[in-house]
Amino acid sequence: MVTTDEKGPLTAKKKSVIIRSCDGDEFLVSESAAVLSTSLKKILEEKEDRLIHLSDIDNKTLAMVIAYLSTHADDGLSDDLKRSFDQEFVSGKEFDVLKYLVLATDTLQVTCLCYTVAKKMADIMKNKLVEWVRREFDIQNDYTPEAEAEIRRLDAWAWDDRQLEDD
Amino acid sequence: MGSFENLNVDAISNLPADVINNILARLSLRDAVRTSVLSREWRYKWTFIPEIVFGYEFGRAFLRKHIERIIDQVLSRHQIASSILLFCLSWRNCICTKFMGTGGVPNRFPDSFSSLIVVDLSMYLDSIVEVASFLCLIRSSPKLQMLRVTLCVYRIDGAVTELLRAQETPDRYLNQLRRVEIEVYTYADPLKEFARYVLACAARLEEMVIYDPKPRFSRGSLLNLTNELNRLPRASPSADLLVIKQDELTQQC
Repeated sequence: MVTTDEKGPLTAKKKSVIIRSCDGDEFLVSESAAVLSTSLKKILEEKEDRLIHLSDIDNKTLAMVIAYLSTHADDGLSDDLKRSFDQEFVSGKEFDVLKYLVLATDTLQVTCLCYTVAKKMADIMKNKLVEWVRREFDIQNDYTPEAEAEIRRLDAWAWDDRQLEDD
Repeated sequence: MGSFENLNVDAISNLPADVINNILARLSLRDAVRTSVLSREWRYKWTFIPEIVFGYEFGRAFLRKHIERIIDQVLSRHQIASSILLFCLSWRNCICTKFMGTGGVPNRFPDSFSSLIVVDLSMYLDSIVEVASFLCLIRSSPKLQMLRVTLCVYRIDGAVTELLRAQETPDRYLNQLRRVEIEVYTYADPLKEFARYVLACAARLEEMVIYDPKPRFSRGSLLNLTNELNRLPRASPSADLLVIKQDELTQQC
């Protein structure tokens, strides 16, 4: 058994855990919020440790994920409010921020948030010309012109560019 | 930023496969297929999307083309065709429109959907073109194992009932079909005729589940339907027939 003496005063709050980001920031999170992450839930089931170190999630991203978990663990909020929180949560975020978020949700196995963020990332790519996607995400086209033409020929139906956007 | 810096070859290419799948699955099929030319690394990423949805956009683009060939092309390139292949075609826009105003709906397509395992769609029993197109679609899918169909009706059309009744049974199609789920908003004759057709043809059928989603039909009418369908000849004598309410379906799964 872990006692409060060994672990310091923070563990005195029985239903909380401390999560530490890769850059050392610590967040106090209610256990009911933490267990919405399948990975954290497993860790908490396996050991009694109240301090979880996440070696590949930075503090900004972790703060966002925790805000999400805490909101969704709040029984006082209606499903509608949670849904509008989700919308607000991803709106206006840069693709790069979304990318770290989606990676974090993948690591932490927060399925709902992973879907929400992936949906937002897909919305950014939706109806865009290939050239736009390459430019926006800095993807190097390493096809020869012949190889590219051949692939476009294979799925010719997907290349009607009339309704696509380039900005 | 975080410690995923090694991923910054470009903004997205090196994301873990399941994350990429998650993103691609939320694009339209057309947008997902188009990612194959981004770079060589992206060549096959779309082929691992867990389910393929032939949606509205897809349908709009192919009214006058060989839609069955295109669908089969897409399906045959898809990597996980044997596991979960969903065919949520907004098919009213694809297949039905193709036949509107033409000489009529053929018995089956000249080319078959040889990779199609699961068909999942909704159908209005009011429209004879729609019902005929649906029959054409399932007969053109020789490997079809699972059929999930939602049957709706506004106004019963005797011609639809006649069309279904006139289907030759047993015919040589539907012989891989194992499971049929029919979500019903009507117990009218077209439903019974459709069930009769499937029961008479599907020689390997294991289970047919007819369920009431609301639920709004009485226990008695469910029983009557069960009794009526139980009297029909079956190509697969061991097939189970269940007529149930939605909540019972959940319990069963």
